[in-house]
Amino acid sequence: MNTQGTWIVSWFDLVGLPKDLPHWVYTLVSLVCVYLFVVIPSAVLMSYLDRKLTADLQARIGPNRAGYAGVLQSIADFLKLLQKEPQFKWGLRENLWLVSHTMALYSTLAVLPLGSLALLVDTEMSAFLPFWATLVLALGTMLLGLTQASVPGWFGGIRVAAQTLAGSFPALIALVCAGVRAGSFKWSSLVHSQSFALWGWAAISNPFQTVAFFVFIISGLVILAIPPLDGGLSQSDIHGGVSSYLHGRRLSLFQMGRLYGFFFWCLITVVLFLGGWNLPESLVSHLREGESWIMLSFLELTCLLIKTFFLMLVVTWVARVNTRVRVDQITDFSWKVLSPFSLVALMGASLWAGWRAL
Amino acid sequence: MDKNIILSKLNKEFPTLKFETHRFGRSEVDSVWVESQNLLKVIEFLKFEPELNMEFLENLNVSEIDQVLVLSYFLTSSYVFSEVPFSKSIVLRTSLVLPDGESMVSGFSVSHILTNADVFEDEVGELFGIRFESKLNKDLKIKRNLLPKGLRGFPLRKSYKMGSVVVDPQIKKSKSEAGQ
Amino acid sequence: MSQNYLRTDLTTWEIGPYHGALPVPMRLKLQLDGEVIAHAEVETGFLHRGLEKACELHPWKSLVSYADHLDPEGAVFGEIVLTNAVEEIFGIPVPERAQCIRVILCELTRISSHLAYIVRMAKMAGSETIIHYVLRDRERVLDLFELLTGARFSINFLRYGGVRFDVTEGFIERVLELCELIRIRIKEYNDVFTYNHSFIKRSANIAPLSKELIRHCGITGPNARASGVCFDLRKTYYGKAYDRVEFEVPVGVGALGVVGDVHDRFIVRLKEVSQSIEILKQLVETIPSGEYCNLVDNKISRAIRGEAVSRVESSRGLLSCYVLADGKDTPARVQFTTSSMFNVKLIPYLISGVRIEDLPVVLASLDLSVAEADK
Repeated sequence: MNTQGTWIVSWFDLVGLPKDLPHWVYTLVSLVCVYLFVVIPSAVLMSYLDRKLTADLQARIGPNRAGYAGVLQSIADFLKLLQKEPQFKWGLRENLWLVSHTMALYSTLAVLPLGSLALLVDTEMSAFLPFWATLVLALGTMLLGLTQASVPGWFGGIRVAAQTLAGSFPALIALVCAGVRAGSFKWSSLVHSQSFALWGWAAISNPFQTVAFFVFIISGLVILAIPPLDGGLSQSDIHGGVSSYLHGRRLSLFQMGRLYGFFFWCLITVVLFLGGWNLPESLVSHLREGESWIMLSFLELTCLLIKTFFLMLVVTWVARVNTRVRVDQITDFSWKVLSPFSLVALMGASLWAGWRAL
Repeated sequence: MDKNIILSKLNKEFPTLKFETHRFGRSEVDSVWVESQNLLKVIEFLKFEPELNMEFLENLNVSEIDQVLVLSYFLTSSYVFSEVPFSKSIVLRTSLVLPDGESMVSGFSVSHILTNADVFEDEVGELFGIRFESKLNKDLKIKRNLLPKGLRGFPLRKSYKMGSVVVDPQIKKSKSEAGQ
Repeated sequence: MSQNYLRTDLTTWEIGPYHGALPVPMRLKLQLDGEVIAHAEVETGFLHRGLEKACELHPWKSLVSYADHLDPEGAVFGEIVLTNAVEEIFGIPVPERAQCIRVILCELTRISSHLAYIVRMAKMAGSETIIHYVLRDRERVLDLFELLTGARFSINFLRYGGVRFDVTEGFIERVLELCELIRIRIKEYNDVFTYNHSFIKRSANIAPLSKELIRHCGITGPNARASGVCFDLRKTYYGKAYDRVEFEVPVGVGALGVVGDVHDRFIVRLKEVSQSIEILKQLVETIPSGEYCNLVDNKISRAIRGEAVSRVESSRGLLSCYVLADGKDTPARVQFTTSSMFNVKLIPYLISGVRIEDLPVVLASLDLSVAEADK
């Protein structure tokens, strides 16, 4: 087994699974484990932190009944949504949405960079695959909106499509900026070109990369319709747009999808621009020499997740304080501000990298 | 004196009409009785006369006094384009005879001269049962349905008996069929 | 806008009576050209309570509690306009102290109503943080009402000839504390919300109200003042303790957009809160001593017949009341004319050409009260 697989073996040793199963079993088990032990707890923790922080900003208490200080609130909400009866019988179109949404979104689990040893797909296309998944997600959401017979769903679908289109262009260019600096799009090289210390982060290394970082995170919010740039899913006039007729299990699926999208976009931003999972050199070399893979991957994951949560909380903070931006103002901003900035950043980053190489 | 200007101009413009003038309550404003067929002419004159410019209908009140509907038009000078708002005011009164039973009365609409009159005319029309015949194409932009569908009678008339709400049986039947 | 060579159809969308975009129950039938509203129709009447008929059936003493249900947020304006009309008919003099107390309550109600307006605007624009802070400060105003009158909203406090209870030293102290608090908080709201760039983008240059439209629909109050029509009944017509105080009437100048747009309507109301604070400070310090109610000759006698109209500048605009007495125990006619009736007429004209996403903000900016409009 190659180095990438070594870490899986050590985890299996811990659990006690046999080592001679076919590879796809290992992959499947690891994907499920990633979902259950990384994504779901992050979602629960993140939604709790979001609600408590929002409540703090608004001078109120927030959830405090479910569990001690409300820590079990997300689970309680999820269980409640599961037991609500759906009103409409789903037809072929809705099932098509379900399949494409699930397939697109959760296929990125395989591509998530969760540590130097936890990379299942580490090729030159790695950085682009989640990006592709967001586009398919947007397609699914748009179809969901357009199939509804009501004006809110229709408008929601069109707005989501417009937002995604507007946000994809600068996001892609900013992604290329990060790759230009690292010299490749493999997760391992992207992170390896940065360091644990603050001055080694890609976002701070040169001004064009800083611009690319801001463009990337903001255009991510545009693509995924995350507040404050959630004009496509606006609550006040179209009652949530595409989700205006979703109830119960389907609504929880939709909300989980949105939260997951936000989570992995912030994760990728951290990996590309904010130092990734880098730990101090001395610690890493000590752990590698001692071959304590579990400890190493656990610490790297923790470092990565802490930075991701911090980024998510900053975005939430900005969202709570400001008003919602109108959808045509979002797309205007994306085309007229983010795109030129991203192009300038790309040119600057390429020149910088080229000059350094000379 | 402001009120003398208004009255003197009215008498000059309409020498054939006799205006019965009283004091409005305890205030300084005049209330002038006008025949219903002359009302439109008088209002047009008051609005377009350059010195008066009384184009703001502050209130259109309908009261039932002794089986007669008294309509009072509270006209004042404009407050939008003039320096001193409410400098001139007058109350024009006219009357409509109330028929027996629950039939509607016809009156003349002034909404083609006083643009905000339709707000009042819709309301009193529904509550008193007055049909204001309008010269304008009825502007369908605003509808006010104050009373429930199928309610018979006009609540603000004195002859309306409280507690005797009669809903049209057709409406009741269709509601029960719909399973409500 | 549809081009000549591209044939597009208008979408019809009916919303109401209850919808997230509507601040009040009403039905809107919209014709949409893409995301822009091409044509609109309004239907109201969902909150008709028969207030005027109820006033005709009850004795004179009970009318005050009906009048303060005219506009639940601005209860005292309905009461003051009714009591003034009745006092004019029956010749009941009101002592100066009672007039001052009435005006103090008017200004406190104006502050409370405008704070609720900020909450509605913020909610429609999508900013939820400021809502909680403003509501907390509004609770302090409502606490003052409760201290004086016993109730937070429908205060039922005015009587013919004066008010029900006297104000105490403790109340005056607390009013001065409140003025100081609101003065500091207005600065906070300006920092967080009013001059926030994202709110300015949602509200500047949107749905400007022209003077022609004001004249056509008869709009009064802060909506008209935001478009430059400087008409405030407190200054021009009213008197009654307002001539004892000095204050300015804020008028919209279009500092961040055009004159009369949504942002101007918002700013004018914030400035009015500041001016109400000034009025309150001046009044409570110079409140005259005397009776709080004329208990000697405030009887409604059957011998007097007459009619009267009284007006007041309420927080939403011009509010007037016509009362007709014909010598019986109950009035012959009570009629209220409110500014919200005209604001409803204004809606279809104002929202044509506005984007559907701005609809909630524009409707909230008019400060409609359907309780006033439908009576």
